[in-house]
Amino acid sequence: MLFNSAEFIFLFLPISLLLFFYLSNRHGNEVALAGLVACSLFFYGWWNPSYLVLLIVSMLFNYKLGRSLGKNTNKRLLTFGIALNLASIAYYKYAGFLIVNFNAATGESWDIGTILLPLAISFFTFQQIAYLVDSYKGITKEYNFLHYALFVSFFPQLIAGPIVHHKDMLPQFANTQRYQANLNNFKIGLTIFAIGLFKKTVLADGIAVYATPVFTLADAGGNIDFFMAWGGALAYTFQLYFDFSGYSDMAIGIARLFGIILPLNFYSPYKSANISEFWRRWHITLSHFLRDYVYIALGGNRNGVFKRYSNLFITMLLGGIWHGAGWNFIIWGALHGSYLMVNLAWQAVKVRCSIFQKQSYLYIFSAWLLTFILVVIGWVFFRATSIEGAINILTGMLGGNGFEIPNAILARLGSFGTTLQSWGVSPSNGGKVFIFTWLWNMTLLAFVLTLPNIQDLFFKEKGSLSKLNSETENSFWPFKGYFKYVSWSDSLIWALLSGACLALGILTLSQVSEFLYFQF
Amino acid sequence: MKYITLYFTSFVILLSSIAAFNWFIDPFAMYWSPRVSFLNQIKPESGTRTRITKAYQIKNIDPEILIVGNSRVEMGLSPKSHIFQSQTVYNQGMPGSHLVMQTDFAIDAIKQSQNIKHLLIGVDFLDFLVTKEQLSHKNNLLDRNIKASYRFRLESFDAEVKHAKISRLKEKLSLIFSLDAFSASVSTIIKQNSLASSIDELGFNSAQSYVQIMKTEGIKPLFTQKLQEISTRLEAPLFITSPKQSFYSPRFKHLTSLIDEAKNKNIKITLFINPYHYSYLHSLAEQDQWSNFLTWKKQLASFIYQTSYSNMTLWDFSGFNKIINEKVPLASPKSAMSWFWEPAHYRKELGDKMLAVMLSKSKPAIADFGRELSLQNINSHIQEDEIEFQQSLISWQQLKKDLR
Repeated sequence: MLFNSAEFIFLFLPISLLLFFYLSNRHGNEVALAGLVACSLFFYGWWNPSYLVLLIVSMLFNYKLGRSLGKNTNKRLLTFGIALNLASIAYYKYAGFLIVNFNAATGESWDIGTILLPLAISFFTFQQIAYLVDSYKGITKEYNFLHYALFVSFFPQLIAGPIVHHKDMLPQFANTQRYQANLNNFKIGLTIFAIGLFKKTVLADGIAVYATPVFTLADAGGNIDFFMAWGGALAYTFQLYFDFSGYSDMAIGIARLFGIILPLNFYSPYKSANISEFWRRWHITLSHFLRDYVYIALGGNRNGVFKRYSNLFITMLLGGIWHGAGWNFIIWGALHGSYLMVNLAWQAVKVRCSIFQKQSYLYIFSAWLLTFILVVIGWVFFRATSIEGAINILTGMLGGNGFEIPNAILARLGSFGTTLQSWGVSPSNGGKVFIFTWLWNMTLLAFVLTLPNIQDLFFKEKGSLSKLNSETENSFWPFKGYFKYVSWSDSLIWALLSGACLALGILTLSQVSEFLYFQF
Repeated sequence: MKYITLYFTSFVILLSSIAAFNWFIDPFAMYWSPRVSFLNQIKPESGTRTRITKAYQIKNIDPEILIVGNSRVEMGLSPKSHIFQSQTVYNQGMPGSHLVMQTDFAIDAIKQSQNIKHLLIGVDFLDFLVTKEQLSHKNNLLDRNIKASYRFRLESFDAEVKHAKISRLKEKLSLIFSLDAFSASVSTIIKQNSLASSIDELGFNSAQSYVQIMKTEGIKPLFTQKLQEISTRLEAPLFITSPKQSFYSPRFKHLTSLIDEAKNKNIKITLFINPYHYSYLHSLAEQDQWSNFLTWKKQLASFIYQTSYSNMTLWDFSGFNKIINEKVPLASPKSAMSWFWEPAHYRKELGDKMLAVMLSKSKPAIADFGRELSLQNINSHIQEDEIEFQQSLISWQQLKKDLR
């Protein structure tokens, strides 16, 4: 069941809310939370009921282990727990990839058949690994199983994050005040949900049709010229952002209806003017997990410059692998690891040589442009299903596959069209697609650069657990004077606008919709 | 509470306004609302949804004559042609549709209607070509997948499809309650004054977008693009028959199903091979499909004979003659041809000539345009084709050179 589906919006969500508040009123908080766990398990089981067993066993095992680690800091037990979690994810997610590469390297022909990836296994496994580590460190408290089960399975964040941390969620579940339908929470929750739905269904799905065919053609070995390559790569760049951040916004909005505040997952990442800033703003909860449980565990910046750089690289490489079993994800992780290392070195050079200490508008713009282009190049590997496909698109982006402009446009350009052809631009087909690709790309670029995000809009209402508010440091934000102080208010215009977003989102339900982050 | 009330009021008002707007503009040509000049008179977005609308629209027309085929007949044979006189005709041609889809739609129309008296079936060579894999597996899996994509729309197949009625209702609602429909409605209004193709209430495609392309880009890119498409489509090895299997292409089974259905109701059948510009035929030859093309004609003649249905005839409009050999006006690139839009699609004017030959059996003004094929005369026609193919080779080489 997708958040952007009729069964979720018109049946599951209203019934869950009614049940939760009814149980809370009649039987108290604990029974209401139990009802919410039941709803969450139903939500998870909707796709494939057999994987419910895996989720429940995983919760029981990790809860018991976490309790033991809390009482007895046994490192072997922790290692065993982490290994078992990683083994389960390795089997479901990486076994096929490992076997294929083993066969390729050795000439063997091992076959383990098709293994269906349990939905959201990466999300709930990582949340629980964090819980085990913190139990070992003595950070966790005496949580009861019901609260723990809800922390893992709470349906707004179960499928695609944000990756929640026990210290953020469990205190909210342990609230002693009786859960009651709160009008303010409903106003905020419904508005954030509507904005998220609009971002996911209207914007992300709207631009997806201009990205998917380009990558399909590239993977099939077709010729991808300069404009098609950039058009497709940019379209995917925006599709992924609006898809994932829209879904995260929906999660935040739904949770808020129940009175639960989730952590922030996106903070206008495409405004970033360096790659470190990008990772502070993109998939924030994953970045935090990687920082706290991988980078710091590897030693962080404690053991000299070389170790710091290598730890950074390894962390990003693992981040790449987390996203999927494939060489393209590994390359994507390695690319970002390299970007971060270069950025770290550049920051050191700036300090040492005392250059660019005062950042001009031109410097910020150039830094943003470079960062954005590097991120787009990364997404090419992330999206293409083969290395050859990615190389094909990158070759096109560099002009290696020629320059093509639709004949319909060239013909209308008159003598300039002829001049372009004399410069080597070839006529092609598909004028409408060409125009719409670039119209969508330019419109969404303007959106991501100028508009405030959910965090900025709802900062006063504590829209998420984040404390960020209209941040401008290390970022390129044109026309910020117009938008920086825009925030949500309990007003006619906001009610009408968000109701309209909901209506436009609902109107997409009968259209084809793909959600990208399910595979992770 | 005021905020929540306003939120849902805005939601309901916008949703219902867009739905009413979509219903009125009717961008996909369901013809359920009045047509108003400069608003929704033509339906430029309808060409992309004909597989949906033609399944439902035919019920409202309940024709006496049904035209079956792909995009060639859709934009070539006008149901409003004077040849049909006062008979009600529906053009069920669907662009790019698989033969099984064309025949299933026609079977459903026959089952649903008591009125159909005549089927005009435009058969197309490419629809009968199969891959090696499809030859050996008898197309079952492919057919199943294709059928699954549309059969819920056809009421006569309800017994084979789960929840068909609900699926139909959902699909019809999506023509009103969807953002796709909304953007198509806006586009419909914007394009009212432009030269854009539109499907009329009888299923005919006006093909006006060709006129627009001709005005802006000229005929050369059209020919280049189409000939390139044919070559690309025929790059993979495709077969019309396998010596180890039957003499016929496996796709004949779909034609058999339709003909059996028509026979049961004693419906007259006129099968015809669409006309192709000579450049199309030479493109086939360059992809090693010329002999398959001729074999396919033999298959059709033999099929007609074996079916032994006296109320059925087979016409061939693909032989070389003045029409098929029409010169491409590359010297004045923005002027259109008389009979063809481009190598694969013929104009309504040529469609009218075909209808005159098939329906009134008037002697064609141009010799050899329209030959009735039978098992008795097929070999001599094929010999003629072979000779005329060679004769047009010089023109083809010249055309190729000019198109470069």
